[in-house]
Amino acid sequence: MIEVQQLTIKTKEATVVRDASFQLTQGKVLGLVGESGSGKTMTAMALVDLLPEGVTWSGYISYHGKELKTFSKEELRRLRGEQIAIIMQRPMIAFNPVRTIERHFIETIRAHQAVTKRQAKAIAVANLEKMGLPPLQILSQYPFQLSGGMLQRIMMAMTLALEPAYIIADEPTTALDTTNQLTVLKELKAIVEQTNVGMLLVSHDLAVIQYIADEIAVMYNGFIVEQAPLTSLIKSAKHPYTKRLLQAEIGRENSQKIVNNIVQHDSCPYFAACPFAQVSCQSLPPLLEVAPHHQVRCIQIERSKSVCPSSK
Amino acid sequence: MSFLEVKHVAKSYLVGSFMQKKVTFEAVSDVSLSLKTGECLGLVGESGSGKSTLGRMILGVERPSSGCITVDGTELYGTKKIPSTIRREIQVVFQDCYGAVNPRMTAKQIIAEPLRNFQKLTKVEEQAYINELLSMVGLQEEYGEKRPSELSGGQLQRINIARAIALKPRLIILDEPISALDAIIQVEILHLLKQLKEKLHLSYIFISHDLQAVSYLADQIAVMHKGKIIEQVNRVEELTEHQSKKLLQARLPTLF
Amino acid sequence: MKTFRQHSILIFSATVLVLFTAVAIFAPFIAPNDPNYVDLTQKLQPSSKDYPLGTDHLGRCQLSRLLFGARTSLSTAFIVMSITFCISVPIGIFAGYMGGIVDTWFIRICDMLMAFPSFLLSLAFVGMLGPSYGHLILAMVCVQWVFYARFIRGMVLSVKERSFVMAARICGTSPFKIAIKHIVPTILASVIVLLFMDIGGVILSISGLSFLGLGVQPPYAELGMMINDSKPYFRSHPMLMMYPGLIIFLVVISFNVFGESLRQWLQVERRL
Repeated sequence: MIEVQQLTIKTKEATVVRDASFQLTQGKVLGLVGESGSGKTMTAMALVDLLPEGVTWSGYISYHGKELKTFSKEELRRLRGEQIAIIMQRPMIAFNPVRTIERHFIETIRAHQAVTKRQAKAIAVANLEKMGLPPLQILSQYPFQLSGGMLQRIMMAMTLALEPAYIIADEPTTALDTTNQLTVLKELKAIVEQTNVGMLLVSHDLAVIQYIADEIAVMYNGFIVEQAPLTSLIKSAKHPYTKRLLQAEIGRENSQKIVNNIVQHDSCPYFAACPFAQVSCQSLPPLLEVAPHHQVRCIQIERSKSVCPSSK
Repeated sequence: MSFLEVKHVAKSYLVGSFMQKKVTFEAVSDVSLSLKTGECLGLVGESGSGKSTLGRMILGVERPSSGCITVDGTELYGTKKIPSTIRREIQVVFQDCYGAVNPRMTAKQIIAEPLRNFQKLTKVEEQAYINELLSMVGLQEEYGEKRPSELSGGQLQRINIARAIALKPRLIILDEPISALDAIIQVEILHLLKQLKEKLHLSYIFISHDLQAVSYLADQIAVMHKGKIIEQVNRVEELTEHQSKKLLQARLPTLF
Repeated sequence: MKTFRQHSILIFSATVLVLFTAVAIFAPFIAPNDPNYVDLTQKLQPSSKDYPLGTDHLGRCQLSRLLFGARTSLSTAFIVMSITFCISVPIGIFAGYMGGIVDTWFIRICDMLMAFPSFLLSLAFVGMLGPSYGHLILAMVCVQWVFYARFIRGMVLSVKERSFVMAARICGTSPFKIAIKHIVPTILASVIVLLFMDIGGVILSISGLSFLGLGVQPPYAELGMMINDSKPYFRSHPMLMMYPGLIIFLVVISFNVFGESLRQWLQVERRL
């Protein structure tokens, strides 16, 4: 299990993530949903210590009981790739354009496993087949000859080949067509079911997340504002922002105030845009447990329950 | 009487790298369509189906290999340069909201550019009109002073829309205008586009791979596949072709 | 703004350059003596109160000649760069934006001129035209403009494809306005950095040509020429050669460091 407690991430200019706490268990998918700038990608990157230069994190992250801060550089390197694999947002640029797919595969596999080139190729073939791709054709191609959807599935095949215990998927379907989106999500779902891998799925699109997540954490302006199991969140969301995400449907007029995200450290992160904001909302609300495993960061819960129209 | 007529338009490229035999690639083959004022045509298809190429040809930035496009009876590509009377009637909103603006200009300057090309307004008149455009797209006056790096994707796309409507055009080509935005913002922008269409009697050609978004705005839907229009219907429910059904099925089933 | 260290290098090299420029501008007021005044009775004197760095083989004050020499080098380089800038920017933008046959011919001409090593080419020019100050400038400009025009054309090609340029075309902006309002501001930072980084090379070329006698003509002081003049006295009076060499070295290195830190600060790509 990967445990994260009170994770705070600071850049030189601002605090982009504050007090995030969650767990990743094997066999389960945690979905992290939020707008651009909410801090979700930084949170995901912090788990493998891959934050950009100048960005620091504090808090507690442990991998199977061992704290991440105590890992040596070499242990961290092996952690990434062998234990925790990352699927990136834009598959088109994640590949070296002058290398064939076969070369990519073999290099990746041999960087983490002591196998011969032939064995590596066999692993590659097996994993490509699992993704429903014709292995021999694909291996001889260059990245520019393949579409985004195929590249994303190849990247997933590569991460699978390393048999990681956890997968972090950062907006894996955002750059793809709707037709490819569905295929990729179905593959991700199949991966979790077949290999018992633990997954952190990051996206701005709640529809994408609810398709495969078991538990969802909603982030806004650097804070986790609501966290609950799937059905709990969908059927009985409590935070005004979550409700807004659920209600956002084409055709339903719902205008929100346009605001520039400013992280006020000691007020509710949603204060500027919330239709129910009160004076009392200017102090930072704590995460309250409103139901088993269902936590919300809002002091207006009682009020919003009665005033805000429910989602269904 | 349609104001936009596209007749048997085709576009092909020669592809093949150095030392390879050059092959002709037909991005668009034999496409015909027409559009009336105030109508929205949804152009859907997978990537590579030719919809963006078709959009560029109608915009006037890419000359078709064959066929002709007329606006109010005048040929778009009749002369070497597009006549300025037609130029101001067809505008665009691109997918990449940051790439579509000069990062050094303020929002006000971005919106003012088309105005300064076609009209001679005094500073006061220009400022007033820009404020009007900003409020039409849902932004307060102070957003005019901001630069693209200070704006979010949704806000910047509103600026792009304000620039597109500044000259009061008849037709706006929307090339995947919401695909690069967050899900929740996509919905807001779609609503805005619908509002503006009704208020200003705009015609749209809405290019997208997202059938759900398209069907919200479109009066007609044309499905493209491998450079051809395989089907053209008035409502999503009427789609019968296999390829069209594939696009329909791509919608994520949601619990909410 | 990057790290403080990089920032401080930028400030330091900028200060050195400002100092050099100030010295060059105010040379007439700072120099203790007339740099061209020949007094054979004073030849090859060591440093003294009247002649702080001694005299050369013609009795001229070394310090004054150094100051005026730096002034000549810097001002000549500045003139060459300015004229090059004024020629290569419009040509590069025109070729890049027009494309087609104009661009193809431009590249052919560039290829022809760039096939020669630049120093030899300017040497050949001056040799043909005859040594004089004007010809020196002409030769250097004729050789330099090609590189910059080519570089600018390359940048224009990449900027041309960006969506905002197409958007400007679609909202009716004329090609001329696009060049001025969109293309030039986008590439200006890169061009300025390039000029700064190359000015050191230009100073070296000027010094080199003057060393060969094909650049600045006597009696004007020029650092390269001073090195040449002091060749026969190298054994007995090495400082006569060292001083001008050192000044060239310092000036060129300051420009290079300043150009590089400016490039880093503005985050401009390195030219390959």
